Amino acid sequence: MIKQYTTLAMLVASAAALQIVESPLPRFLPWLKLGLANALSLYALIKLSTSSGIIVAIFRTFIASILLGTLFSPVFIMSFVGALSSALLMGLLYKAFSKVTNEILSISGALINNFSQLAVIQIMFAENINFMFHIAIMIWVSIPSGYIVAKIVNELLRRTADV
Amino acid sequence: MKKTLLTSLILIASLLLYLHNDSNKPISESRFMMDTVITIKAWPPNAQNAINAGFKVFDEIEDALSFHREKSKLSILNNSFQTTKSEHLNNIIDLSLKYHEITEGYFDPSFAIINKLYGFYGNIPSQLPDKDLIKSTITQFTGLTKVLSFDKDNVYLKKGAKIDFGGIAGGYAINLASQAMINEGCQTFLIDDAGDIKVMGTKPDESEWAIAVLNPVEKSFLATAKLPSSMCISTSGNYERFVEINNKKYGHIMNPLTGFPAEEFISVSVIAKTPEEADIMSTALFAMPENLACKKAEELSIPALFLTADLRVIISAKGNDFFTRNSKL
Amino acid sequence: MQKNNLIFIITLLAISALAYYFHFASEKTTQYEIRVLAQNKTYLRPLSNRLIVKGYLGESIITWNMNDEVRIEKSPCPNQSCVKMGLCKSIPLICVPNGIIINPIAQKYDAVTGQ
Repeated sequence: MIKQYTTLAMLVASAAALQIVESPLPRFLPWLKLGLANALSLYALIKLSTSSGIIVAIFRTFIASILLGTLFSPVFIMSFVGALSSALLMGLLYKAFSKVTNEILSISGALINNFSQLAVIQIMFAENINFMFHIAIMIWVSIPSGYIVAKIVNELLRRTADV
Repeated sequence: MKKTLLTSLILIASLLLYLHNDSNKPISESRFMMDTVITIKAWPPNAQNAINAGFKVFDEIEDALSFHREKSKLSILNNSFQTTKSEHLNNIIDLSLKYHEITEGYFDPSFAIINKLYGFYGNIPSQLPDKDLIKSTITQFTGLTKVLSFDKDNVYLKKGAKIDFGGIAGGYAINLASQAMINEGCQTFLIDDAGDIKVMGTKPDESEWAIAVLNPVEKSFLATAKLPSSMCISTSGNYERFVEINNKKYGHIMNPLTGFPAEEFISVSVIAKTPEEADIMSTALFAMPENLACKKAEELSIPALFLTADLRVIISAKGNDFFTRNSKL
Repeated sequence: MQKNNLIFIITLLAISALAYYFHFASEKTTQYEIRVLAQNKTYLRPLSNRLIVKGYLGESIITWNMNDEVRIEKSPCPNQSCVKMGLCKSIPLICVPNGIIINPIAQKYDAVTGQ
């Protein structure tokens, strides 16, 4: 039990760290990013449990935004909703389909992450965003970033197989 | 697996090519004419010919009625107070007299002489013109019916008076240009003479014509005007032509009663069946005091949108059929 | 690569291509709407191709080039990610900290009056 908590705490900490490191990197659009922190949500989801994955997503956005000074700002709401929805979807897919691969999980996670951040902008600012164009762009960005994340998770799982 | 990938890519590409349709695209052209930028946008058929024909008309009107071109009929009238009649001059004088009466004198091309006192047309004075001078100039040299006289072949102007058809020449030119474009076989087009706009026909996608109405000072977006085919809209304001005297801006539309620049509105937009009417009525309503302008708009059932100097937006009863306020405000 | 992964990716790419097509099937636009949340106002692209607006944090300078591409030239926001995005066309530019949204609008207006 204690071991599981320790693992979870470590995952949250590294996920928050990754998110902070990633935030000043240049990005194509405000809601499009690599999402390396998502790798740790996915890892927790597979290695520990579905709820652990969601806990990592929630806590890492809180901690990262406290440290970045953006708590409860629009930026925080975007990243919180994005991380939470992606963890929820990945958990759901993981439970529902036994054959689902890590690549599919992580690409869908990245997609829903980007999409829900866009939806947040749409709701908060009541803007008519051109969704068609963004869906196209999102898919192009999500496939490589999701793929990289999946490879990282596979490697993590392989190295920690006996832990 | 590679075959699947290749096949799907080819399928997608051919689907996109099939759906892509390049005909029915409009062409548009802008030229600097009549002291402003004129844009004509036309949809096939015969779009390019029609655009050329349209600009030719603008050129012709500018030759005849420009205040600034020395050889124009109007300049001859202004300088030697007499000229022979010509088609365009006659038409525009008739129109001016008609609307001079309808607007109770608030539309008055002979007010050019007052504008000259303020330093439009060059030589900006360091002080505001003397009030008594303005008063005596108004009684002596303004009032279109007083300063113009005619005989069989000639038009005469009272000595010392000046006429500028700037408030109507644009509308008149749009009307003739649109006729020329229709004669060229073009059925769908838009003519934009610096905010005096005429739309004609139905676009291929059958969407309504939509014109954005801006607050000219801060460029924020006030309303959308939906226009049926062959309707016109015009916006008048003191924001584009003004003189600066003692660091204060004075606009070019004068209140004909006081001889002082009209300051009740920032802009007035009017929708009408002819471009001349839209052009003239927006200028005339701009010159009026607020309550008279609103009353006049209701009386003549003019669709109008007023932006007052204190940033209120008033839409006339008829205007509600055309104007939609920006809902985000 | 596993078969399932490949099918998944191809499906996504097909959706993407379709979405992209539907985006560009509509007439390309040179008109832009600029929302300034701090003032609760909407502006249209000015003729001067340079617009200065006051957002939550201060003045942002928005400029257009000859090709109708837009960029945020100067912004008071801390991370400057909107400035770093550079020139954009057909993509909304959003500066979240300063509350500024630049949206390309397709076919919404045929012309502008009162400019």
